[in-house]
Amino acid sequence: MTTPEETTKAIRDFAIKVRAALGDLTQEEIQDLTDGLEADLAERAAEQGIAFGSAAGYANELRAAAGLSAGISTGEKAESSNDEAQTRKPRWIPITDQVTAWWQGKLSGNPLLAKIWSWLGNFRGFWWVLRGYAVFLLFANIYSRAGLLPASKMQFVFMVLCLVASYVLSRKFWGRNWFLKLVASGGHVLTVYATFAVVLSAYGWQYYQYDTRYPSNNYIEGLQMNGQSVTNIFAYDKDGERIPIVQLFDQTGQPLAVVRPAQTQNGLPVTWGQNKAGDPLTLTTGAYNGLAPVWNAWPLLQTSKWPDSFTGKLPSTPLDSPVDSVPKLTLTTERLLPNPIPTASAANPSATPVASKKPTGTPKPSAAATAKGKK
Amino acid sequence: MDTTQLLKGVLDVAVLAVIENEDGYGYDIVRRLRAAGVEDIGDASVYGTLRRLYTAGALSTYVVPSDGGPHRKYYAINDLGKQMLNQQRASWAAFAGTMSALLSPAQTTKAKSAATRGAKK
Repeated sequence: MTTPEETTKAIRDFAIKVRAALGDLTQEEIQDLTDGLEADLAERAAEQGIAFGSAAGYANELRAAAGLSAGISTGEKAESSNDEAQTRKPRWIPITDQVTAWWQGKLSGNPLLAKIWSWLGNFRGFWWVLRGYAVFLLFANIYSRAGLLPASKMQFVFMVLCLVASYVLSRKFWGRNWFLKLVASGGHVLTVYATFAVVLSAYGWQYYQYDTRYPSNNYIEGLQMNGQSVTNIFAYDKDGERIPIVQLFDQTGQPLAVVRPAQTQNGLPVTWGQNKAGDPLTLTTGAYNGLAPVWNAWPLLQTSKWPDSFTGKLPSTPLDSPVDSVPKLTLTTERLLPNPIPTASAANPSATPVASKKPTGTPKPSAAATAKGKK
Repeated sequence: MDTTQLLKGVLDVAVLAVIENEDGYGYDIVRRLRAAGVEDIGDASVYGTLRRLYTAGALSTYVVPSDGGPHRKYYAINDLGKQMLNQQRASWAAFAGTMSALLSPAQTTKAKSAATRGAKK
């Protein structure tokens, strides 16, 4: 004699196995075929006991009577041998089928949940678009910098591919082919991850991400000072006179330049920056080494106030300096004393100057200059 | 003779006829078929047939919550289902008549004697 608990468990286990055996069908088909299965089994158990027989056989009988060929979804091509496919199936496949079956069982046992699930089903199309778009955003932002919309034709094509792939993923194309199922499972995991990543970043996680990502990847675009972009540099000599053009290098001999200037508009190489007031500017360099534009020759030339009104003509008037006046410097060859260091000022020539490096006049950073500075 | 094979061809009409009498849920329909003498029928075959008839538009469904247990999905016949049932009734009657006549002992004897006469000529 079986206890009610044993009966309930036997029914539940059998229903899970049946749904798992139908795992290649669409959720709708499985639901249609097994809706009310537990109730029917319970009634049968009351009359005939819990010897339900083979769940796979039961599932095959169900699908055969329903006109759904073994191992395929409606309207799709049949595989030659269902049994063969079953035996070759890797061990993890039943796990995914069982998760599906478990969920179907939950739906079947809970009309309210089933109603909510079917209501959510109305938004299926929206979900497909969302996850496709999320994958696009994720990859576009990892491999290049993109905004919310594709920034180039390539990105646009990639976005369309993501959307198509998301739709294909919803079509249960894998049938009983375990390899396709593996690909599809990977796709599902990726789309869920991408959607979470994109949604979380929309809630402000991007700041955290950028802060940690840039230093580890050495990915700082352009020059920066205290976290702000430096988009132009104005040089003055010791007398406070503007130097028309100066080539700058860092401590390793690398040109001190905008890292990614290389875009061409109307035949001129351009980059983008801001003026003192914060207005966007299109900038170009007036210096060339042969035909190659030199981007560490400062200052860059301002060619138009707004990036989209760029004409391709070099500016005819010299660039305004953002600094009103620059103090004249007094130079010393002595080492600086550690005692009070007054600020250098043109109005107070007797003060100890700060500059200790003697300008060498060579544009290249020479070892000699560095050595002198360190003395 | 294996009646399971025979049943396959007529399960649709049998299920439609049972539901025409009264709406029913899966196991209830199985039980009524068995009570009517269709005993060699698998539960799953009936459920699958119900699903196929529903997809074909011959049946409509509604869910009835049951006290304490899982809900039941009831099937009801609709106009298309009734049309299908009437057509299949006619086909069955014609087919059954033909087969009955063919298989009746008198017919078999006549056929045998005709064959013997043909051989003698």
